[in-house]
Amino acid sequence: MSHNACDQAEILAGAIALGEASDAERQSYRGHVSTCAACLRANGGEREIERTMAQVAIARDGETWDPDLTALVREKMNSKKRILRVGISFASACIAISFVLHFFAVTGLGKIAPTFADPLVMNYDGQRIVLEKRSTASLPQATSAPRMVVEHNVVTLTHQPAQVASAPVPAAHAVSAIAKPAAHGAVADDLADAYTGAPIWRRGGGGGGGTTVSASTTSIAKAVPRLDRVVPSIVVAPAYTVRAAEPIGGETALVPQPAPIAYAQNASGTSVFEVQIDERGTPTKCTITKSSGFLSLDDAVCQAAMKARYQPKLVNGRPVPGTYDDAFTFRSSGTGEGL
Amino acid sequence: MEQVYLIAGGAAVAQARVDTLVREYQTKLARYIRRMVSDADVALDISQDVFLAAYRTLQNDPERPLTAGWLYKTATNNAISHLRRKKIVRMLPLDRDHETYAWRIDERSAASVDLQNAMQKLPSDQASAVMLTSYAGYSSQEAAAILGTTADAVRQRVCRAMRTLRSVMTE
Repeated sequence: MSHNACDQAEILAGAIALGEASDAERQSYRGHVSTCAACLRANGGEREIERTMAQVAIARDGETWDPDLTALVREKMNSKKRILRVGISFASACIAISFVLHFFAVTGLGKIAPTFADPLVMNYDGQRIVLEKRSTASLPQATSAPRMVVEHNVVTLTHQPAQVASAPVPAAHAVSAIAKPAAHGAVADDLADAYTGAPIWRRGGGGGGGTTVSASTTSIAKAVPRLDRVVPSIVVAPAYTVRAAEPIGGETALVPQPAPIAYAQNASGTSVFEVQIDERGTPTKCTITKSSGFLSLDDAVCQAAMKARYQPKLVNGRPVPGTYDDAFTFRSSGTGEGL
Repeated sequence: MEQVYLIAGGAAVAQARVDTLVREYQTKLARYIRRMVSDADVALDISQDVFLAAYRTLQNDPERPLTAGWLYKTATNNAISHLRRKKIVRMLPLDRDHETYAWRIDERSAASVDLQNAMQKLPSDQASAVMLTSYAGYSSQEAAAILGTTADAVRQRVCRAMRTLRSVMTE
């Protein structure tokens, strides 16, 4: 018997088992098994096939197992919904937190932004630059109003490096915050000259010298009598669509720590520097635009400038790359000699 | 076999539609899967997975009409996947608890026990063909559509499965 005929017989036997075989198919199967003993032995006759399938039907009909999946499936469907809801809530919370953190990172944590309603006036007499802060109401009487003149970042080297690096006192912070937008790119050299004058306040001292803030409205005005001759004032950026880059935490965030050799050399002088700041507030390059004459002092200034974090320059509220200029004047009291 | 078309009314009614499917087919489907995998607990797990798959399908496409054949097709695929995994686990020498995979059934009928003993000896393609036709009640044409084959192939598989069934159940 050919192989194909036996395969066909299997198909016919299957049809008989399922009750789908026609009379012709049954006749054909009978004809095959009557001549093929192997197929008869393997598949059985029609009656055997039907008896086997009847046993299957008996087994099926006798089953009593009746599970109830309704509650289980409903619970799982609800748990999937709950997981989805929790996931969406968590993602929303993460996005909100990231927005808040980004806001604080850009504006500076805990730093109060300067009020643009109080304009800053810059006087330049060819030798020195003086910034003064006054209220909008007193703007027309700018030349006659009391002025606060600040020459900042005067560092007196009177102690060992660890003491020099002490943190600035809050009072100095306040004064510096008012005088913040001090130096600016093109006037850096002239600004350096301004630092050669008498210090109005000093920071980084301590010990015998201490940190003293001697600035007062009247005494400062007396200290710089030439300001009365400076007219007219130049109002800087009245619309304030541009906000200069500045260190986060104010200028006192920059704390130069000169190497011990600076004390041994009784180093003194003014280091004027310029830091390039990218739109993320990261300092990318520090340049000494006017050297103090001592490499140790210049290095200390640049290292402090590159360590600090900055608020980037804002043009119409959009951060752009910018520069920050400032200067440190170092003075040695001589007590560090022999270090 | 009666085909049940469930007209989708939207994603919001997906759960209600699945509830209807569960009420109507849970017993048939669970028994079918239990015969395939020879384990009542596994059958319950696979049955739940089938209904949850239906729920996900209705969530994604609320307009899709789900038939009973779709449930059986999903159940068959899941059961065959389970049998393949079980086969691999049994081959692992460290698996000392493979006896836990032995048939657990609470049926008292001798025919049921014999049928299950025979089913354990069948390859998965023959078992699915027998179960879909003689057990779930599909014709060879419908079973072929579910299994992705031809009606003649289903009949041939039933015939070959019948040899094993006969030797266990009638002798």
